[in-house]
Amino acid sequence: MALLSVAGAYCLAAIALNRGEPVNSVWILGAAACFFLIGFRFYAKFIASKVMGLDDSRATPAERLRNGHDYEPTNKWILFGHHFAAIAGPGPLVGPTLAAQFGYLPGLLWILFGCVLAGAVQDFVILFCSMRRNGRTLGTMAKEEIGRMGGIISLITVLLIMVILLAVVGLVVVNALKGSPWGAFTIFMMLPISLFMGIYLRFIRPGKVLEGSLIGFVLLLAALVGGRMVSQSPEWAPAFTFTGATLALIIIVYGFVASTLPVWLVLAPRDYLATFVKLGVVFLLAIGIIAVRPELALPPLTRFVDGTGPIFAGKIFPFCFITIACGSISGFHSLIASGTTPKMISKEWHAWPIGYGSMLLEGFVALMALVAAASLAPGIYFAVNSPPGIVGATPEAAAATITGWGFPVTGGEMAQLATRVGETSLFARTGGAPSLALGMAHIFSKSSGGGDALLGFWYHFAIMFEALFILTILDAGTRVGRFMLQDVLGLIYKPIGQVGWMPGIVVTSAVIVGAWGYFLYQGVLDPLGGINSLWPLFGIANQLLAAIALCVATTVLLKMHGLKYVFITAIPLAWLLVVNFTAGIEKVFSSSPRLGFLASAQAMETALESGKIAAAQVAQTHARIFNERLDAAICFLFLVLVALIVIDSLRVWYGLLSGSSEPKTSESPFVLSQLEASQL
Amino acid sequence: MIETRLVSTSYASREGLTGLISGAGGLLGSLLAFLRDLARELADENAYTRHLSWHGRNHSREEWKAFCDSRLASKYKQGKCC
Repeated sequence: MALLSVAGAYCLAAIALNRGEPVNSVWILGAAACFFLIGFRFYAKFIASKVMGLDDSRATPAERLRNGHDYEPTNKWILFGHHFAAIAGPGPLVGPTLAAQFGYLPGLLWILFGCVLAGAVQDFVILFCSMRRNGRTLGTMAKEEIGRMGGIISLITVLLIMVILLAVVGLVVVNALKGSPWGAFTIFMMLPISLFMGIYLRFIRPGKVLEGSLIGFVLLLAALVGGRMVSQSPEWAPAFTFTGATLALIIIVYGFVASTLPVWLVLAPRDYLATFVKLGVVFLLAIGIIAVRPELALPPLTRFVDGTGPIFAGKIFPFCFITIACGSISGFHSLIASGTTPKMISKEWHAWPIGYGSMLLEGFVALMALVAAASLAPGIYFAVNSPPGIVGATPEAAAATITGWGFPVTGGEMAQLATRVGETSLFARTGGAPSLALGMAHIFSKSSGGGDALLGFWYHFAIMFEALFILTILDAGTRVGRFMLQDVLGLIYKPIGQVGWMPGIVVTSAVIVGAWGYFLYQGVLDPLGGINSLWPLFGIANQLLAAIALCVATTVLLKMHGLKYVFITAIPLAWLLVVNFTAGIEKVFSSSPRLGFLASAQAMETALESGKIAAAQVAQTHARIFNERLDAAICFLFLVLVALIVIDSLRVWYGLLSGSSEPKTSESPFVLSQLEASQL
Repeated sequence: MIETRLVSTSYASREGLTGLISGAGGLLGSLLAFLRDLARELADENAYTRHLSWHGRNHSREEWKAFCDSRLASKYKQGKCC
């Protein structure tokens, strides 16, 4: 451990002292590995033994409630992989890529400290709480530990987050595919491939999921190769070249159809495929980075720490911390940690690597994404990620603006790069996915020895990889939103609450798809790229959900030990509240039109009144004014909901500390485990 | 004593893969076995094996259909993480 500490300190010193010279990514990954391992060995073990009092002689829900279905004791490392696959999504890839506009250092430090002290702690403590409560969900625990209001607020917050999340990930896909026949063809082919897999697994070779997934993967690669041919064909290329608005409509229609089809037909087969591809690509990226050891071309800090960044507006504090959510702390993880995983843990101590360790691995994925993005030349990184509303609509104007910021790039250089990856243009491909794909493609093509010849293939492979699991999130999220809505509407009109009643399915699916589709479409039309508004909104919502989870965790720790160990969850909670309330208030009330939703609406209204808006743009401007106000209302609603749950929690904590209420915990009673170590 | 089978065997024959893994031996063999079991868990194949053994049934198209419908219904009540 001493050796690890010295190695970590050496790597950090290499990053800190290499002034004026590019830093090699090896130092970053080395420092992260040492930092994470030390956090895991000391901090997490302290929490496990002293605070939680994990006890392998205590039977877990998997053993006590074993039913051959949900509750099943599972091998520690298999469950680790299962849990990691469930928590890893596009967030840790896209967030650090976007936050790289501040330079690589803020993101690096937030991922390191955020993971060890906040994100992994949240996942671990919630997993522990759920494991000690028969695998209960976050909403149920909030209701039991804090009060009825906690449960209702959790439900509403999750539903709202789902809508914003689906819109923002949809926008990432749209921006990656617009004007790209290669990408569009490959992604469109996923539908027939998923349908084929669904039929194969249902009727041709029932139960042969690995076999079906392998066939699906081979077909996907064939589609990738076919996409290149399509993009080079004068007849076919125009048929697969879409504008952002058309792609948004296609995705909205697809989301509706996919969420109403039987789950075995499209969603499940693609989810199997997405899971394997996701784990495989993350592993390949790690190997690629180790093999290539790219140098970071982005500076540690850019001029945009002052809040004038082109990708999204806002200063480094608080916006760096909400942009990287899933790579440091993600409220969504608390839903997974109180979902399937606690029902499958064989021994209590397994929660240590599964709950805490999985999040550290997710942080490592976020760092790899940061390295991939930061290894691009800064001029190229900003040219790809900056919207036309900021840098100018033509390549020449964009190149001139970005070069003027001190990040040289030319239109010719960008055109050459676009040709090499099989695209017509790489300017203004906002959303993070294309720049991440470029970074990954460079790493993959160098490590595979294919050089430039394979750059286009790897670029589109990376786009396919991102789109594959984003589309799965869209389908699954729409379905979950539909179930939630059916539950609520079923209280008013009973038949609509029945899961199998088709009119109910169609209506509720349409409402959910309409909700995220609306934000997606408006994001596509936004001249600032949509990401400027939607990603911060998503980051705030996600981390406010984490704040709810930490309120539950803090309440449990208070009931267990009084004030003694409460700092473990209370400090991350306080940090999240400060960061997210600052960000939320700035997003709603800032007087800068680029940052504040209301100021932006006001500026457009003034421009309308003074006749500065062209007649053709008037209707669209009215729509944008409405959207900015809607975004402000949603952001404000998030803040109010979380403020309510924090106030409710403070009431409970005051009662516990003053002795006016009993520290009643809903933990299930101790039962001696019958599982022996040799069986594990 | 509750019988626990944490790394389960398949309902179908897998001699090829199993043979390869046992042939590899040592650390590599353990790694391959782990990857195989992880892949089977992620593919719900282990869950299906548990389902068959728990209910004392044999594999058939109808059984897979019944398992699949109930498994996927509960699996997709939870959103995918971002």
